[in-house]
Amino acid sequence: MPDQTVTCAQLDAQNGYLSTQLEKPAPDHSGSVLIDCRWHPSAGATRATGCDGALFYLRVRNNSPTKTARALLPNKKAGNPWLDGAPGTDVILDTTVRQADQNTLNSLGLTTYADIAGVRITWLP
Amino acid sequence: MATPPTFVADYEASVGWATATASAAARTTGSFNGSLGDVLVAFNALASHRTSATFTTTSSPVETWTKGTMSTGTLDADVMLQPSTTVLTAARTGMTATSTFTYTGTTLVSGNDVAQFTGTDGIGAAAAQAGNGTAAVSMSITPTFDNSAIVYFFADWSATDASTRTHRTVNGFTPTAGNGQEFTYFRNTTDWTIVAAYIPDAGAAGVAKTVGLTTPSTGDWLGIAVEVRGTAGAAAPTAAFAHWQQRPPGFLAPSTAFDQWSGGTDVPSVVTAFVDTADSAPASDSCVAFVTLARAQSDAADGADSTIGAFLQGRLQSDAAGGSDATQRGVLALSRALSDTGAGSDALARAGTYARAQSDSAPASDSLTSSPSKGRTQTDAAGGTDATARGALALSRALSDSGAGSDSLARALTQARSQAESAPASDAAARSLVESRAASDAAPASDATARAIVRNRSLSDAAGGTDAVVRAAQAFVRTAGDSAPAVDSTAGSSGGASSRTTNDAAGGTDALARSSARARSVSDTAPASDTAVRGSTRGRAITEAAPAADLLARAVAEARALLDAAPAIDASVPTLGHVDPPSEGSSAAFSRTGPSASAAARSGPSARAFPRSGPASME
Repeated sequence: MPDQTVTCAQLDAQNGYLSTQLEKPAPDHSGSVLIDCRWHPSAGATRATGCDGALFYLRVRNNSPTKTARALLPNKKAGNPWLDGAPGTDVILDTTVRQADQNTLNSLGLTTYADIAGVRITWLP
Repeated sequence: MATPPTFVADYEASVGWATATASAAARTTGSFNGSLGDVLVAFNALASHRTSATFTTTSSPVETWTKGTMSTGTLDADVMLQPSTTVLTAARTGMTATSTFTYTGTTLVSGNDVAQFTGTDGIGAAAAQAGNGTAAVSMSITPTFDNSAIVYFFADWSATDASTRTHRTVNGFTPTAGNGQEFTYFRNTTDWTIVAAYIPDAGAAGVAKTVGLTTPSTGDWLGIAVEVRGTAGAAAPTAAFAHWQQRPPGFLAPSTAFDQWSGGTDVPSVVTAFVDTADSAPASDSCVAFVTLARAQSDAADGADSTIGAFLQGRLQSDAAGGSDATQRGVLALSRALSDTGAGSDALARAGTYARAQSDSAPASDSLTSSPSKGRTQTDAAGGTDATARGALALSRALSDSGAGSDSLARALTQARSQAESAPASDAAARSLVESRAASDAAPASDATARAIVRNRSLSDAAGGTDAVVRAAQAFVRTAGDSAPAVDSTAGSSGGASSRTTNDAAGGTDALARSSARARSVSDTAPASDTAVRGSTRGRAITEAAPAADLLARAVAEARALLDAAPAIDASVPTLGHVDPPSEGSSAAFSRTGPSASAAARSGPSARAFPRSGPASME
């Protein structure tokens, strides 16, 4: 991990935001799914806690034409602890563009980075 | 050429790649299934290097995991990576893999990713790459087997953004998320960037391969890689000619050589050559020409089956020792040795020959010379030798001989047959048209046929009959219904001798003198003795009510008795017409009985024409 002496704020400043990307291919090699989320660390966030902060961007993309991807979110606060992306899904929730997307994130139970932490991708048969 | 393995899937720890825990953190994958022989490669990763850190991988069900080389790095400046591998010892259902990280210091982020391959012969080489500073990531690995897969895992401690990335090409393969050869990409700005991918077929062994990324060209990457072997194929049979042919009807088509595991050389040059499997020793089967069948089955020792020519069949079955079946160049030659305990050698001569040895306890040698000849030895207790001379249509057959039978056929159209003989029979056929037959002989019969057209037959002899046929011409001897041994002997003479005894109640003795003698007894109620003396004599007795003795003098004498009501004695004496004068009073002045005076032989006293007795008549 980046130098532990570097603070969350410094990392945020270096990159413009803190982010996590996860990409997984479909088992039939028909495409892949990409989970991309961005957040800013909250005040007082530390490296030990993963620089947790409010989520402002979430993109879920499935470019497989045949397979449905499922993102497992063990920390999701509301609803099922997963999100399904049907073939061809490309959903961007960006509160910097659409403030209303924050409501969607809230309803999905995805408000902070900690809600995304531990995300894994699986594919439906 | 090996067959590359098949990537099945990868299984990440449930906590993902961004969970920080204290030492002894366990990272467990989701459940998965596996087949016997599948290879699992667990990539264990710690987000920051720690001295003396240990990574331990276990699984449920239990398998034996083997740790690979740990990457080297700098404290809090590099990630820490180590592979661990296992080969499934059984098919698994609902299996999980757990990696436990122990280290000193603060909580750290750790994770694992298990890659599964099937269709593999196991693990090959491995490699680990220390931090290469700020540069595009690359790592060298040299496979030790052909056509292996290389699976690799890179992690960047500085969490470089590799959302736009390009993998290095190896043996024509460039992994991407789209083609599925890249199976993990994760990056978070607080921890690390992780890329995991595989090369499906790295190509030839012994040649170094370079895996990694060409973009991004920056980062502080470490990497680990493992060679996953493919499956080695069977050695191709070294058949010079192995293919299917379509022939006109009547020909057999397939030519196949298969499953040689001990360096056998099969060179079928044409149609219908079969080489069987399971040769324990190098077998050499060569077929030349067409429509040949050569088959060696379960040879315990080197077997050589060579067939030359056309329409040849050679078969060697269950030879305990090296059997050699050589078929000469000919047509319709069949050679077959069954269950020879010793080295059997069946040599077939040229053309139209059959040799068969069955269940020979000793090496049997059946040699056939040229020409259509048949020799057969059946269940010989000892080595039987059937030698057929060079002749035409010679048949020799010995059945159930308890001893060595030797049947020699002369060069001629001969037939010799011995049936149910308890002792070796020797049938010698002379060079001529000879038939000799002994039926139901209780004792060895010896039939010797002279060189002549001879027919000799004994019927229902109670004892060994000896039929001696003398060298004579057209001698017929026949005894019918003899209740006792009859001896029929015909002397040799140049004469037409006929002897017949009909309905003799007792043993009749018919002696034929050496002469043209005819003796006939008709309806004799009593044994008749007909003696034909030497001479031109004729004796005939007809319907005699009583035994008549017919004495034929040694002379030209005729004795005839007609309708004798009473026993008549006709005596002829060897005189010349010596007849008693007729009795007086008879009109027959000159009645005579007995031999005609005129025909009487002359001997003894002079005959007087008018013997006088009594008064003379002078009227």
